[in-house]
Amino acid sequence: MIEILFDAPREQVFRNWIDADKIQTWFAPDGFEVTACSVEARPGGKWQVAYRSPQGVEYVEYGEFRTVDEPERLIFTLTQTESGRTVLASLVTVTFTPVGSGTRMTFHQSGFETPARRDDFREGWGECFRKLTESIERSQADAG
Amino acid sequence: MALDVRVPVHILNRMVPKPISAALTPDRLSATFGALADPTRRAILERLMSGEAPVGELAEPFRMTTRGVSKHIAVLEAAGLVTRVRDGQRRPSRIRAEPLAEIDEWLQTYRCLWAGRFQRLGERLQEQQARRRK
Repeated sequence: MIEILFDAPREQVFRNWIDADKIQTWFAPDGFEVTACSVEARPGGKWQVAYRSPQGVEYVEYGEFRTVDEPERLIFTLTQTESGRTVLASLVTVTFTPVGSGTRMTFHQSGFETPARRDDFREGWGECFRKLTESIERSQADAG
Repeated sequence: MALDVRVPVHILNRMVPKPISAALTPDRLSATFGALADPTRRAILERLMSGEAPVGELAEPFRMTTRGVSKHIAVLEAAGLVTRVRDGQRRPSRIRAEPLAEIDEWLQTYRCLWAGRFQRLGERLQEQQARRRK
């Protein structure tokens, strides 16, 4: 989970997530060219952003909205492809909470799947893997 | 876990999606995810974090035959998460960290990707507000 404080009202932050013109200005990395961007901000609506690296690698990220509760919460599926090959499919939840005149935005990405394991699990693995890796490294250091 | 957005902009903006390296092909990640997508296998791995163990000892916590546990160990071995150590007649299992480190690296790529995005989003928000004030 990522948590960020923005010095802007949440209505404005939220709109930057659902307005195609605005999304294009921050979604792709610097130097990358956005080649397509479309957004239907409603439950069941589809979204897509396509961009190309300076080396010419094509990326497409797309999905469907599950929840569009302006200006509080967005839930959408996100599939990332690279050169036409699906790399990642996940579910993203973004929340927007007012903090003074600003906004606390939380971002959570879960349900990491590669295409072959799509049906097998739904949890987020980030924390789990880091803990396992650290634990292994610790026990190996102890044993060494 | 909170992200510290005071990371220098020139670093965050350079965090771009990297084409997946050969080592992290979807097939290899799939094998690791598949091996981990079973609670018994995760429990076996957790036990192996404390040190090597033979099949009999690994089977103990589960109401399972050693043959049943061996099948799970074979899946873990095929994914490179476990290796069998030659120890006379016994062949205890030992955990390997590499596949987990690979997944952590793969996940880190995505964490960095989003960190850069949110840095840019912050900049755009400031620009939008500045334009409104004009």
